[in-house]
Amino acid sequence: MVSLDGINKAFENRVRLGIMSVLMANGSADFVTLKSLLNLSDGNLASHARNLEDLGYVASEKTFMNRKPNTTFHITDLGRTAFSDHISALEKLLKIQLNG
Amino acid sequence: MENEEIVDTLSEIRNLMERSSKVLSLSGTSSLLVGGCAMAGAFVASYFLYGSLEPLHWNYVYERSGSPSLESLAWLIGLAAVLIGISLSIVFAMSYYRAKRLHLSFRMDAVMRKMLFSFFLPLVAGGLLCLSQMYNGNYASVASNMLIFYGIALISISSFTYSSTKHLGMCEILVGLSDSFISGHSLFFWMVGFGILHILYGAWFLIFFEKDGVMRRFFMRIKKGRA
Repeated sequence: MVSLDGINKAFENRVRLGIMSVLMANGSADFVTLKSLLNLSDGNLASHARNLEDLGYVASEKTFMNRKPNTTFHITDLGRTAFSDHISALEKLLKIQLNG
Repeated sequence: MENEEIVDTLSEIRNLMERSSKVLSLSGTSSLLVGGCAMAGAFVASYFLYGSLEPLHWNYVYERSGSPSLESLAWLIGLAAVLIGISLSIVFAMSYYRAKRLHLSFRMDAVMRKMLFSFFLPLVAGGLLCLSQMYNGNYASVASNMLIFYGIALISISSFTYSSTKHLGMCEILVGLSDSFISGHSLFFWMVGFGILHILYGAWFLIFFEKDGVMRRFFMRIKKGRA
């Protein structure tokens, strides 16, 4: 998933980048919060979240609130490292392009 | 990736991180207002207890003339409660209107609950400690404990909001500790900690931090000129 210059393909998608940004800042967020912050449909958020979960960047936890299912997403240590590596790679690219 | 694309991506990340986590915050303006309230409170307390503003001067040292009357104690506690109420309403109202302006959701979610808990836990513990000290007739360290516990509360919420809140908290603790070592200047230190520090922080925040702050725009222009 990681290309030569350190850019992580998993984060090239806007939705996945958004999910990771929110989780990076808050540690965890529930489904409804993420949906309204990122302006997404249920299905769209669910499929991208599952994608990140398969990569091990995000963990989900399903609980019931007033008998309604409520999913909370957490960022994993692997996800944190992967995301900050991605940001550093972006910074490096930017610096090279500014200087070159 | 193209240059502009990267900049867009980075600013989008920053935007999302800010929008998702800094809903409830002590902004520059609300800090100025809270500081102003505390100054007014210190003036009122000084005038009520001593009949003049002299106790707020650094040169003034309290004469130890026994414990204050029950009446004035109740009055002081009432004043403190009113000040806390006004300050909290200011912070909540300003945060609410900011959230509304930026189209953010301002509601009781998990993050907000965690934040309120970590703010009020040290604050309530410190408040009860202060009450117990007054109950036992030990008035000298009440002001410094208020400052220290408020500082701890600020530090403990700093991971949920602007990280500069942590530095304000450290300054509060420092002022509180100075007060505990230097006796006879409680009201002076209280005014510095709750009034002047908030005003300084608010001014600093407005000038350097806020998106359309004067100094920020100035520095951006310098940076642009250099690039």
